[in-house]
Amino acid sequence: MAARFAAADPDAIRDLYVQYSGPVTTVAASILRDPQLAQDAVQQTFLNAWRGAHSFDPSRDIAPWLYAIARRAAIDIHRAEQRRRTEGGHDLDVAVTPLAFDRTWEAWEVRRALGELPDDEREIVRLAHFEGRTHSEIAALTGIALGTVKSRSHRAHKRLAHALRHLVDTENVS
Amino acid sequence: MTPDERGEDSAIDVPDALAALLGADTVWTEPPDIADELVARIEQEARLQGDDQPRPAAAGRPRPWRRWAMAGAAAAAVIVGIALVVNSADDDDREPAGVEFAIVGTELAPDASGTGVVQVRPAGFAIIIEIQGLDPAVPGTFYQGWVRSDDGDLVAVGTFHAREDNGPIALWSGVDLDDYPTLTVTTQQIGAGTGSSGEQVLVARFDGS
Repeated sequence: MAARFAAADPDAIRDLYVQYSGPVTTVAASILRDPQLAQDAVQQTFLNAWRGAHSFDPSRDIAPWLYAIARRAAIDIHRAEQRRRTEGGHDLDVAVTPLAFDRTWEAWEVRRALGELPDDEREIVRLAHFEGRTHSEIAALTGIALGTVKSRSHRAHKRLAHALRHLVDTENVS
Repeated sequence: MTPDERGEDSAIDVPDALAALLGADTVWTEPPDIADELVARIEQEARLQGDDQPRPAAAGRPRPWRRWAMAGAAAAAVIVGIALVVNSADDDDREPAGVEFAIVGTELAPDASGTGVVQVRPAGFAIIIEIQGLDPAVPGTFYQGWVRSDDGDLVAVGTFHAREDNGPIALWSGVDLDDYPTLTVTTQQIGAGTGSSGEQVLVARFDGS
């Protein structure tokens, strides 16, 4: 995919975007709390990736390379926004230190792991953790039997624990 | 509050820190629907800019500067936002005083634009540019000008930081701009080597093609 992406193959660009736009968005949103700026960072990430594709070694995993570009794009936009607001005399409400490298990497990895879950399992994880709903509430909300909700939740968390074991085992999620 | 915290059974023990990440809105933020726009932008940039790999200058036979300028005069047209005007080439017996061209910002500097003029000097080709809307280079970085041939050879033509004012910037080329008809400006990291970063902020064509 990397070689086709570097050659500006539209299908390769779309494939890469489908596969990685979620984690890139998470990194951008973690650093830039403004949704519009985060969207700019997402687009900039893929443009910068294409511009730098000639330097990418296709034998290596593309994820860390793309992650670094995403983080850099978001931080550049963050700094530019800080500068713009400073020069304009605005409040420095974006003058916060971006999340540390390992924190945004954790968020990236969690987003990737979620993206690999089946849709029905991911939705249960979302309802449980993001909306804070109980299994009973999820069953009522989705019309799925409580036992099915519990079994899907179990499978989903098991998959997540496996996919994120390198973070959990070393207690790097902090 | 997770199901566990509400006293429900869960066979999987989710560490608190992981649970916190799973509950973060950033992990669930939908990506923007920009795949088509992205494809269009990359295809456009690929057409406009071509390969940006820095390579040694090709040793091609230089063509006369005057012929390049006159071809530019005949082609005075705007193509992909880049204009070319030859302002002093109507007299075939006179060297052109300068070839003016327009400069556009890329996606990295969408508010930037400018104009430039190429002048033949005894030492080479002086490329004088004036830019508006380009942020000063952030600390640790600088801007670098390049001229590029249509088959991808890059030649550096000078650096600047644009931190003091927006006055004219003089770049110099020792290669014939007949052979290197594209001007680009990239953002470079200090200490990162002499090759192009590929992070183009400005682009222009001298020949209007």
